[in-house]
Order: sequence, then C-alpha cells, then structure tokens
Amino acid sequence: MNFNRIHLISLFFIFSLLSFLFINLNYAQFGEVAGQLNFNASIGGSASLPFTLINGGSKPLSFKIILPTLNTIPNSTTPTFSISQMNGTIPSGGQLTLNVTVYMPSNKNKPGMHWSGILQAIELSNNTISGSGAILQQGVAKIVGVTALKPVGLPIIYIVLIILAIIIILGLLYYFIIKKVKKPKFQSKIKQSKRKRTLNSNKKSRSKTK
Amino acid sequence: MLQKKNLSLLLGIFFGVIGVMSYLSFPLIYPSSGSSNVNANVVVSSACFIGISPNSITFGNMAPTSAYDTNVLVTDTDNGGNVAANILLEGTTWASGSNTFAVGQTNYNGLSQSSYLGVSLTTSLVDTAIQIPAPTVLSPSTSNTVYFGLEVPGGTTPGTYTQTITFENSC
Repeated sequence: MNFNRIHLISLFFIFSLLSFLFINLNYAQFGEVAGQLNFNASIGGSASLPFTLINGGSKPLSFKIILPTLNTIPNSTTPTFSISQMNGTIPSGGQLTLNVTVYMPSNKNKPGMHWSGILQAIELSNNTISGSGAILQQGVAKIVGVTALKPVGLPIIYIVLIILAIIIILGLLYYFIIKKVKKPKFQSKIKQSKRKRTLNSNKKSRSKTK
Repeated sequence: MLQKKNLSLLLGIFFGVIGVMSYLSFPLIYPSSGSSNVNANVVVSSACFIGISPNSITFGNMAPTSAYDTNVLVTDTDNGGNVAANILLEGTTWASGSNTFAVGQTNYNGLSQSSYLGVSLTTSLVDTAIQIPAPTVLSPSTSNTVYFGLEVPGGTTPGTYTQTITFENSC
C-alpha cells in the first residue's frame, strides 16, 4: 500500500487532533471559593472558618498549605494558626474544604487588636527547566484577618457561682424557718410552765381555804 | 306519623351516605391529571481559578551587569470562575549551587517594556494590583498578563542560576 500526500496530510491531521485532545483533556485547574477569612477570636480562645479548594481540572491535583505569617503588633502576642490538612490531593472535578483555626493568646492581647496575613495553597508540580531561568508554580491565596474580642468567661465559673448563690439562699431560708419554728415552741413552753405555776398556786390557795 | 318520621330519617341517612361516598370517590373517579412540580435549587458559590502559561522562563546567557527587558510574557488565566481575581507574586533567591544573587533582580510589570523596568520581586507574597476580570457565561475564560525582566548584578559568579516564581490568584 502506497502512502500518497493525502494520506500523510490526513494522518498528520488526526495525530494533531489527538494530541490536542490529550493535552486539553489532561489539564489542572486549581481554584478556591471566594471571600476573605475574617476571624473574630476571643482572647484566650479560638475561632474556625472553612477554606475550600477546587480542582476544576481533569486530573487529580496535589497541594501544600502555607499558613499565614501575621504582622507583628508591639506589646502583643501574635495569634497562631492550624489547619485540618497541611497537604493533600483533590480528585478531578472535586472540592476539599479545610478547617482553619486561629488561637488568640491571652498574654498582652487586648480587644480590638487586628492582624492580617495570607493563607496559601500551592499546587505541587514537577515543573523543571533546562539551563538557567525561572521555574513557575501556581496556587491560590486567601487574605486572612484576625480580630481580638474580649475574653468570654468560662461557663464553669458561672455554674459554680450559681450553685453557691443557691446554697446561700437555701441556707438563709433554712435558718429563718428554723428560727421561726423554734421561737413559738420556746414561748409555748414558757406559757405552759406559767400555767402550771398558776395551777399549782391555785391548788395551794384552795387547800389553804379548806 | 312515625312512619313519615322513619321515612324522612331513612332518606336523610341515604342521601348522607351517597354524599359521603361521592365526596370520597371523587378523586378516584377524577384522578388529578397533569404534571406535579418538583422544585430544584442550587447555590452557586463565588470562585476563581488559576492557570499559568508557560511554566518556565528562560533568560538565556547573560553577562554580569547586563539586563533583560521586562517583556517576558506569562499569562494567568481564570478558566471557569465567576469573580475577579487578584494576581499575587513571590519568588526565591537566584541560586546556582552555593552561589546566589538577590530575588529582586527579577522585576515584573503589567505592561511589556522595552527596557528593564518594573517592580522588584520579593520572597514574600505581594499583591501586584494586576487583576483578572470575572469570567461570565458568555466569556467563561478570562486572563491577564505579567511581564518579567532580569538584571544580573556585577560580580556574579558564573553558573547556571535558577529561581522559582509563584503565581497565586486570590478572590
């Protein structure tokens, strides 16, 4: 079978089409759900928010997280971050929601203090370069804000205070009830003794008259 | 008298039963025809994506003190998002084994320059103020461009230097 020019052109066309389809069907599209992460954390406590990553591509996507480095404020303790996953793989067309938690130290921090930083999710790639130059990598970033709120009292303290108050009230009630009950008894005993005395004196007077 | 009363009572019961039966059998005789509606809803969240091209930049051979014009194109594409995204950039120090030169020797610009002119790259992530417009249904893929240039400092030890530049889209 002899290949003529038409055969070669059509083979080239088919090969180009297949190459195009292969390249375009195997792409990665890294994304994130929009919106800032603004944490309001009470001093001595913590706050959590979700950070959703999206793989809009046709192949699994591996990533790593870089936690925010917050600005420093004089005479304060910078809050610290933790995340449910520091790296992972998102399946094609999938989403992954990470839970970001910020801890607000109680040392030196005051309500109203505000810090900001950037949370990063970088796509892990095998990009290389032959010779000198710059390797490019991609990712998504999220502006993060942290505001200190006044500390929330522990509920245990409130419970203990309430119990103490109840005990005091009950104690007072008990004391007054006992007092009220005992007084009449005492008075009635005095009355009884008085009656007895009068009766005795009456008897004596009667016997004398007899 | 009693017979009349009984008759009227029987008639009352008869029509009452007929009425109740008619009421109960109406849906069976005339079943509700047509279509039932099922309400469907979806919450579409706001999102942005990133796709950069090419994935490396080659500046070629450069002598110390020479500069490469800030015109090396990198395209950042948001394919499928629905909100505008800001482009953030950071880089690493140029290194060739133990020899290095500063990250800031690389600069970037939103417009192509015919000279070495732009903002110096840093090792910390910086908002470039270059924005990718929000994609729409009619135009589901939007992009913007960043141009890079390089100046090799005098006294740089000969070698093959590499750097990593990270593009990040934020929305």
